[in-house]
Amino acid sequence: MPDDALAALSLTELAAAIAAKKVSSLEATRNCVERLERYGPALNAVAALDAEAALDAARAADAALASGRACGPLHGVPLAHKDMYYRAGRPSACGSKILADFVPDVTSTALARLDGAGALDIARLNMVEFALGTTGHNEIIGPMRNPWNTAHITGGSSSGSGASVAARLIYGALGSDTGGSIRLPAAACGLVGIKPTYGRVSRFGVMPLSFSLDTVGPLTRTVSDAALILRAIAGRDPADPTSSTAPVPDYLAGLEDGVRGLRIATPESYFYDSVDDEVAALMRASLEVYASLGAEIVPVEMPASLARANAMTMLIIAVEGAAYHGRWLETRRGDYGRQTLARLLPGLVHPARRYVEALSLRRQVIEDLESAVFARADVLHTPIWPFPIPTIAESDVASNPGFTEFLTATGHCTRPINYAGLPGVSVPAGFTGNGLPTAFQLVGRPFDEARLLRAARSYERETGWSSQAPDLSKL
Amino acid sequence: MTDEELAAFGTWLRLTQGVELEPAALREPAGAAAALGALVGAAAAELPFGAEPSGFDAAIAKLAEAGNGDAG
Repeated sequence: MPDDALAALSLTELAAAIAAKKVSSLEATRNCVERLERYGPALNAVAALDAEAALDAARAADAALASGRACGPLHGVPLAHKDMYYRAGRPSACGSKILADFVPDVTSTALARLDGAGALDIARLNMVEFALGTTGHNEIIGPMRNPWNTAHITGGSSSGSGASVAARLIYGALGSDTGGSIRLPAAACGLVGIKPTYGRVSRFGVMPLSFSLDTVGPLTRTVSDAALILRAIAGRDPADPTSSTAPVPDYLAGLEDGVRGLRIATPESYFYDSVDDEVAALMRASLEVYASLGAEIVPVEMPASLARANAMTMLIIAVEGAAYHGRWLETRRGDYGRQTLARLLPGLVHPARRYVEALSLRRQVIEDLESAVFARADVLHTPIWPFPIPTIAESDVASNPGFTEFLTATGHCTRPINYAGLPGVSVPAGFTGNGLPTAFQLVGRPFDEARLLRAARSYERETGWSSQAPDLSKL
Repeated sequence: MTDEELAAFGTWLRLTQGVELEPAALREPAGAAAALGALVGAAAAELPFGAEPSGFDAAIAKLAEAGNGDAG
């Protein structure tokens, strides 16, 4: 198969082709290695790539398949992940100078489960320093670049994951989402990204930022790809006490069942407070698609308590982040980027009372969302980025005056969902006038990822945005 | 914050957390903390007596249960 055609396969298609022995894992992995080496530097997407180890793993996968040994649903598929998923004996720098030489002695449960499903883990992908940022800027390793236009940001903090998957350098990647860090880069790069329900996927062996808010999940080209990865990594893990015992459904079952009769809430307040007209028009167009497919569009007024959730989330992240980073804040302040430091330091001075209050207020927000949204609808539809994806230069706020306001604006539509612990999926919804992707977010009840994926797939099938790929010829 | 207040804040930080920061370096984080803290404090005025963080788990479980039966 020609290299470009091979790269254009979705994860789902590649897994099926390998299982049917139409494509070898070695062919696919070699192609990924070549593309990561060729395009990765221009996108600043790759933290580390061990080509020989990747090719050896692919050969082993092919040998296993040839000998008839049992193979998982991702057998031989090359993946790569945000550089904060620990693998014992392999460095994990987390986009930082401080952990540049850190070698964990454990393997994250998410990676172990992907290993068990047969996937290959062939590279570490760049990220915002310690996952603290929404844009993809990183003062330590430089900004990651959007493959649709390298002058523009990727969104963050799973920035290398977004850039690599969108550029067809790899078939899927894990990211993490504490305030939007899966959904924002997925939206900016034209990908599907799932922030699962809090507790749906184990965080064991993943760099912590905020234990009350952290979630992990995939960034992929298609909804089916995301369902495949989520199915592999979801479920209770004794090593992560916050992981849920709720049963894991087959996210692929019912994926093609459509949205007829589905009630989709569209907010009349909060989420559209400062949305650019162009983005708002694309959001309306996506709702019209859903209506044409038989969904019922239900306008809803958002609860007033939601407006506070963004601030609560920022306070919780600062306090919990400062607790994790305490000893380095004492001894290695000079090794942090300015924005990272500016976001962590307030965590040292927030009164403990305010922190407990910010956590205690979560119940009210969930109950308010239940009565305002989920008593009347099955899913909530919102924008993700309130404006077209900006350039790296115009969004390089570092720790300059106003950076907090900018971060607040970028996370306006995503952070409240982390605060409420709900699942959210980013769905590509076309392009703004600058040629960059935009997306909407579907939010569901806790552990209702299957319904979100079905709704996302229905839109994807109708519009075909996921089949569009960036032109890499100028990289 | 005045310079004196920032200096006192720096002393408190050193005594309670072992972090040495010049008063000038404390101005931004203290300001950010004050702004966020005010928002949270205003919202917390509505919290019922006895509210605590584990209410989150109960609310998640209740909302998840409400969706059972028709999820798909």
